[in-house]
Amino acid sequence: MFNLTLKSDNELLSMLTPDTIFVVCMGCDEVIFPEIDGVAALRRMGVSRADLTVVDTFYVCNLDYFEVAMQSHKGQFASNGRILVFSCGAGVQQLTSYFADKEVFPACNTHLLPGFQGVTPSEFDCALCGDCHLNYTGAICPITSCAKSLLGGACGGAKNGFCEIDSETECGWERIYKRINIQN
Amino acid sequence: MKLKERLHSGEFVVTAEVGPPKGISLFEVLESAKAFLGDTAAINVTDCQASVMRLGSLATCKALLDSGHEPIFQMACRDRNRIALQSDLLSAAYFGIENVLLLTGDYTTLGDSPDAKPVYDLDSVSLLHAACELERGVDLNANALSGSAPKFFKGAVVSPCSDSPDVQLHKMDRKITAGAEFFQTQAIFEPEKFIAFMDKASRFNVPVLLGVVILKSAGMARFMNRNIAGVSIPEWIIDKLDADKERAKSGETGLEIAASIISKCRNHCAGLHIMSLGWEDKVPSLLERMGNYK
Repeated sequence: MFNLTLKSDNELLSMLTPDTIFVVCMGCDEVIFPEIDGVAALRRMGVSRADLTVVDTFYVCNLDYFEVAMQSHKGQFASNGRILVFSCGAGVQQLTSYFADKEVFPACNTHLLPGFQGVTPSEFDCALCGDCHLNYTGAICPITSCAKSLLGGACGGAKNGFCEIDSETECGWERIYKRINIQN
Repeated sequence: MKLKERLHSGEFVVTAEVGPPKGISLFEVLESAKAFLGDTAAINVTDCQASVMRLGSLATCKALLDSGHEPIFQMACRDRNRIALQSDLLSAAYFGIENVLLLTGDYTTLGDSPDAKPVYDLDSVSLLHAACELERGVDLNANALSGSAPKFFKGAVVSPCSDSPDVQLHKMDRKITAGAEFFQTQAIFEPEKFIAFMDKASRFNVPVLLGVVILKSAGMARFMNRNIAGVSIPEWIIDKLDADKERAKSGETGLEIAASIISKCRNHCAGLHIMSLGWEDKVPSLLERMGNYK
């Protein structure tokens, strides 16, 4: 089980651009979603549903569901806007892999609640740390993708792009730099 | 003159390095420092290098300081959390050790205690920031220090011949923003790559000391190629070491290679950092050769 909290109004405002596309996950059985709070926060910031694209669906992390939900918004997704996702870390990471060339921003922090029985966000490399900054790292999480969980960049131990402790694991920070270069 | 003043004066600075023993006798380290490293500006003391448990860097630095050398206290983030790291920085300042080299550190599984729990509570960047905070008279949690604040000369490492120089350049930038005042590099064997990196890094205007290793054999070169990140020793160097094994063993070939790399790079760096790896006795000879390459 896990729980999402909305980022503060100031953090959300700093992520907004006029052409932002919102994706709101309506949740799943395993997660407590703040979808009502999320809509309220957007209103406080002067955002109304009428002038902005909002895609809402259950299970954003399931790209099949998401694809169905976005059918009627294809035009907007073809534009350059960034995507602000109201979902857990798994949803943010799935959408980033789906839109390889777009900036995807997390609107929520993901927290672990004990007693979880279902599929875990760790399958999406989300450590449920409660302090999500995936927008700075191309949505590749340095906590889970770097052996040392470094937050300040690559350690210098990688050889040919692979981690110093496992020659079959790509250096997480090199992946981050590559992804950011693609997103520019 | 202190290391900081030397670097700021524009002098071509040479630093050396010693590794503490796995034991409590510092006799050999102090003797070889006295005999062979007297002409260097400062001496790095590694911190359980390659994740091998050894005598502490701080104790060895104090011993070097007491015998008239200027030490550079290396600190890795692998073995201590932020409480211990900040505490050891204060301990260094108490002993009068100003020079610190702050790094993330090799992973524990690479050394002789592979089951040790790696810490990495801080990394090189946040440790540099912690040192700056202590200099401001507060700790990382903004709690005030009593008495006068410590003063450090803060160094960091960079790996110019890495396969991803842009990633290194970005990290270097972050380290400078966090407070790094000088850099020492990983061992350099490809002058062209080093010079290309320095062309980009020169905009930072922070002194960079060229990392120098005197190769002992072709086997050592191949081992470094396989195992040491950011080091790639070209075939022609390995062939040269292989060609005359006796000459390589005597150090003659390794010194010749090192001197030639230095001569190509010296106009692109602020000095040298010689990692002699047990060949401290070859350092004076290398410095002498450098004279011929001026």
